[in-house]
Amino acid sequence: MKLSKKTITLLSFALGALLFVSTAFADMTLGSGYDLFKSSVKKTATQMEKELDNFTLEALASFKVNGQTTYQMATVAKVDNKKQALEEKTTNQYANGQTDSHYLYADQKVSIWKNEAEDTYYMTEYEGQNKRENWTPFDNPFQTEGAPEIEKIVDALVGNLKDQVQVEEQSGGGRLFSGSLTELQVPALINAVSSFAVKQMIGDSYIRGEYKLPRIESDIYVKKMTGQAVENEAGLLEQITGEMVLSGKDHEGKEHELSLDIIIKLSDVGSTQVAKPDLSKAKVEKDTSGFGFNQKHVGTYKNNIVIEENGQWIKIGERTLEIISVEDGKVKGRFVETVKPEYQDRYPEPYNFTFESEGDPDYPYDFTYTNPEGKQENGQIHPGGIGKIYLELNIEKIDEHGYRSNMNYNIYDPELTRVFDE
Amino acid sequence: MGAFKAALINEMFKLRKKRKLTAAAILSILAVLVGQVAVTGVNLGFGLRVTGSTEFPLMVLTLMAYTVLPLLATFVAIDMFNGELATNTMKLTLTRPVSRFGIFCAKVLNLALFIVANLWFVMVLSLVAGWLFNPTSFSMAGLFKVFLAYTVTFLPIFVFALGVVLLANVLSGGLAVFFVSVLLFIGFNFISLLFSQFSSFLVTSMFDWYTQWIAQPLNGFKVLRQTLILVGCGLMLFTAGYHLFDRKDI
Repeated sequence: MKLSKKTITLLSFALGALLFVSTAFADMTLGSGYDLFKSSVKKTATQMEKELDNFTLEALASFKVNGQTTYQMATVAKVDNKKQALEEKTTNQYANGQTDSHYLYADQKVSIWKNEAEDTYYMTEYEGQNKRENWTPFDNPFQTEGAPEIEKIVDALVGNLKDQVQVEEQSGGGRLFSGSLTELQVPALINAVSSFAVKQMIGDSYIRGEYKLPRIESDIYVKKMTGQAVENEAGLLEQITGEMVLSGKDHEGKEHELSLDIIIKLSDVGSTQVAKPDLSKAKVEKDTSGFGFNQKHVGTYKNNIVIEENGQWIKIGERTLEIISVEDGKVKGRFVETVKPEYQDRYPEPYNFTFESEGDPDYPYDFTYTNPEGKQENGQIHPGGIGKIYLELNIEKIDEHGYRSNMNYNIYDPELTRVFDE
Repeated sequence: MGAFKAALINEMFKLRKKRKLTAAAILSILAVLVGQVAVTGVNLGFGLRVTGSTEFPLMVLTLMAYTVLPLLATFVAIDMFNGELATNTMKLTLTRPVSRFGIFCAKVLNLALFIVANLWFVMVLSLVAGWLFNPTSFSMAGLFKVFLAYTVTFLPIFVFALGVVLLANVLSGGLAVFFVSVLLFIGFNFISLLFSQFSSFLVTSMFDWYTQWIAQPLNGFKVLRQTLILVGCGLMLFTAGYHLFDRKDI
């Protein structure tokens, strides 16, 4: 049978189209290892925030210079979503052999912090005005503001490397993800950015001493990047490991290798126990800092009104803030400025008002007052360092928690210091 | 076969006599030089090695694959079809004792040879530049990977050029073909950036598919799928292009 030219043309076109459309469609539906890995990470994060009753999350990061570990950080976090509680222990190990470690317990009512080298527990209570009912022990990083945009940018950067993530289906269910990039494949942009970051870090002589870093000056580049992840039968990522190796030359032209290893493990799902430490016999120091006010803040606070004249600083008056009472989260006070009569023309009309303020302990307390011209203005008050209070005046609200003060800070000083009767 | 060979040599001779080839060479040299200056500048200024001697050709390839190479292939393809029609030399070509299929094949093969030659020319240039400026990081394995990367980049660019050939047989004006090709190129890249899930259908997103070939370990199934997509697309475009060329009244 002899096919006509037209038939051959038609057949060949149809064959091409069929091949193109079917493989492209298959390629699209199969997706890449990267996409599978991403959805697995997202699923795990969502479950960790809500569905899992409790779990233990361990993270280990170690930094090596020419094969020798110079810094190591290990964190074990136990999270209980039912009790809404978290226990965390972090240990750092430095190049000189020194170690330090911290312990933290937190729930909606209290957070307890301890440096393992001391016996004192530091405690912050969140009660009454300071309640934090919306606090959760684990926040899903994909639900935070800006996360979808960052995800898009990362996707674009990853580009054609998406298929470098290999997927292996495990016999008992679950998957094994792995990927590795040699120096030939690391995209120039990722190479440049990470090398630059490391260069900046090495440029800091303090950091160099702390981590025993060689002084690398030229030819810095990313030599290798590898990563593995294990997904269990339930679709949860159980372990993620990653390694990045950088290479560079010091001023003598000697080559050095810096490597960073990270391991993250999820374990004991459903069998993790989070316990509040027993503080009945321990030394406890209660910390009441933050924006909240309590009885210790009642008292008189002062600072000087100072101007510069003929190269000298001259005190021309005083500001006095009196916190009269703190009751049920309400702060009552009085603010007076006194200026010596001979300098009255050098300073604007002094303030003299009383105020009453109520607020949220996470933010500065707002109040309104009447300025010397008889106009209503907004002010804010919040505790400063030990024995200090900040009083901001003439505040303009920009949005919910954005403020701008219209005060002239060349003459106004918002920090007032407690005056004690001795 | 002899007639086909003659037609091919004929096409090659015509291409050689055009200034396009000189332009291609100059543009390629410029691109390699600019890349090397930038890389050396960054290393001297910031101490960062953006690329070593074997990565440098790959960086150049990524840049060229999305700019100079498809552009030059487009120029040559337009010149072969629209250019000859415009100068009325197509008649001379067609009066030779070769079938239209033979002539079409000769032209497409010549286009393919041009793309390969251009790729290899850039490869040699960038290898020399990379070796001159970063002689320390030179390895045989790297050299092989560079060769592989440049060679496989031929396929997506060739398929894109076949698309241009099809356009050249649809539209009569060379300028119109050029603009439509550029628009398609930009549009495809835009789509693959915004809707990355559809990138399997876009030839342009495979211009840097060499990354799959030099991957360690090689994702064979993915490479096979992409090859099939490119072959299918190429076959379709070639047939459509030939069909139009065959039925053209000159």
